[in-house]
Amino acid sequence: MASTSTSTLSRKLILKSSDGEKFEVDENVAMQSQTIKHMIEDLDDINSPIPVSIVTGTILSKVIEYCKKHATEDSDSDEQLKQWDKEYANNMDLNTLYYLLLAANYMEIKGLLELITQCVADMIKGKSPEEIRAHFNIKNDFTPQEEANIRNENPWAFEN
Amino acid sequence: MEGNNSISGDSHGGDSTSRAKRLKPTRDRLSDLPDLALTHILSHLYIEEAARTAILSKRFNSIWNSVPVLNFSDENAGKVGEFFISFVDIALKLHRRREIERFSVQFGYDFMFSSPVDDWIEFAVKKQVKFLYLDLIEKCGKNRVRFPIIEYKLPEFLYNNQNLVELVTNACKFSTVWLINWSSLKLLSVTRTKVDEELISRVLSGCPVLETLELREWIGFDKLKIESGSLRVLKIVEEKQPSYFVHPEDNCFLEVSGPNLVSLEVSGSLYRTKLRLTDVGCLSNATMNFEIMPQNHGPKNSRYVVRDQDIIREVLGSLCFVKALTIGALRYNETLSNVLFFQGYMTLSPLAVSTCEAYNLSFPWSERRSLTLCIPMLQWDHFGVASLLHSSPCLETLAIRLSYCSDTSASKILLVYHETKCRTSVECALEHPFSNNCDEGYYWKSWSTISKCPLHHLKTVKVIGFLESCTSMKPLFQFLEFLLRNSSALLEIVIQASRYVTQGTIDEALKLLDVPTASPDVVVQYEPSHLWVDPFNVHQKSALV
Repeated sequence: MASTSTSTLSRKLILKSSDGEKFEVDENVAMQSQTIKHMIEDLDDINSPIPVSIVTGTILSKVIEYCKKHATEDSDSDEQLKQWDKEYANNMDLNTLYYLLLAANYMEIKGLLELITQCVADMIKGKSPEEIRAHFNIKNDFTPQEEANIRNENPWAFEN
Repeated sequence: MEGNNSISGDSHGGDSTSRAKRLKPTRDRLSDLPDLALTHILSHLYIEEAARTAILSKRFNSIWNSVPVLNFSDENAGKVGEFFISFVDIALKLHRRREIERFSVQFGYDFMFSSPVDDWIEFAVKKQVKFLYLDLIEKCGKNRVRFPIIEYKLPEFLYNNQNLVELVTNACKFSTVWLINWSSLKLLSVTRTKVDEELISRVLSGCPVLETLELREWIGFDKLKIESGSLRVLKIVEEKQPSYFVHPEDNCFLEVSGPNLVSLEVSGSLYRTKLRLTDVGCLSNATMNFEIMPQNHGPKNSRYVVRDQDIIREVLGSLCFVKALTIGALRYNETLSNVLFFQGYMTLSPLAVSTCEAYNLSFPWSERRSLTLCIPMLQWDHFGVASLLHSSPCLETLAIRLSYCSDTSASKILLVYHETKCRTSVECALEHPFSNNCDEGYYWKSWSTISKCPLHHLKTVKVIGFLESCTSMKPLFQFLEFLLRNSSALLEIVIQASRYVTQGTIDEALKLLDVPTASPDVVVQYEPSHLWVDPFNVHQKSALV
């Protein structure tokens, strides 16, 4: 929105990761996390570090990168932002995606959660069950008979 | 990196040494996720894709049918007609979650399916659906639609619903009698159905918190009077061709008013001879990207040109206080005939603007800070662009969203342009030194142009959607050079390529770096850097220039 461009001198917050790393960020960047937003409301002293207890420094820095980009939404068009999102997500390996997803979920950052879940969903799309298992290293804990049963019970999903 | 220590799982000791296995983390991260996160991932899939994950493992078998989002598409499922109907029916029977967020179905509807579709919607409503998307049109091929369109009649029980937040319909008919009560609805998007003024007023009075209203491929109204206090965003996109012929001499109005509207878009075809915007004092951003199309045949003549100018002047006049304006001409592709090209181009493109200039009709003064032009930026856009700059003394941001125009289309347009120019008296007034093609760069170097364009506040210029075509890019670079030379407050010019860039274009573009600039702080940026440094993408993610 155009109105956000006239940023009154934004307050700084300090976020502290689970492994003790500290990050100084603008308030409007941090406020994209609903969790932090609620924490600030209850906070008396804004200058003390806000603990983001389950997120490590490595992941938190990536989360902040995302929030920074999305805090200044007036500078880029939607398409540019989408393109940025795409590159951001594509540069992550599965492990990072996993921790990012947990972080986005915990910190309640809707956009990031949508982005990461969409990215993982795209990895599932168009793959056979065998390929999906291989990609994510999912262990098949069915017996061949059980597997055949599921297929036979749900022909609507498996036939094409 | 906390990820590294978990890469080698103990259980997988030595059972596989294949390369693929070693490259992948051995830990199954997907199954580690909490149920909520996993169902969230599956929510992005179509239902059959989600259902197929049942076979992956016991964990997945217990999770796929509790997704909060149900997406159905006949195309994706590879099923049509009755087969698709029973496919959806089965999936719905297997679904176990008590509430759903979103229900979306896209398929080719036919009369005989009205009762199953009613049942699906009832299912969704019972599960307190918030986002309901009903795209009931048969798609054959890309963006093509089969005719005639069979409309689905929305069921009576839907008109009274407290949970819906978004309702998006395509080819769904709204009742002419039922009272609407959608107390939570924030977005309503209606495509391909008749929407009359009476229905719109019923919608507005029945949706107290509605923020966004979109009418696409619309027909049925001449006057939109938006008195709702909550509605901020109105989009009117693509009028359907009326059954009657609109004569260019007719007084055929589209009138839009809305004292609380913040954003307004009118785009696509418009079978009108006038667009009137009244009582839109709160608008802060507007997109006017429409084509006036009352006439389907006959040569373009001066009368139409005059009419088009009048429309543009009036529209720009009523939007002169709007902070961010987007204008442009649609339809630049080779499939359309030359004539259509030209008409589309004339209506709201700076060419029409330039005929105004030839008439010595300047544009109404405007307070706009941001201007986006959706044009291909060909030679003859210059006049119009200059006129717009002239009337925008407060402009801070200028974006040029390049619509695609291949060299062949460009030469076709040029041909029609010259032919028509010879035929019409109006455009004879267009005898500008530049149109003789003596020196293409002349226009932006002439003192009259420079003195006309007040560029005191212009800070940012963006060129978006840059394509490879080199020859037709020349006018763009001439214009950018003009800006560099003359805008004293300029901070940056950003040129964004969307595909690869040829060496010739790069050479041309890089010349901008040597242009003497009026502003001491200006930076020219080429994005994304790898396309400009390394046009053929040999070295991915190469460093910045």
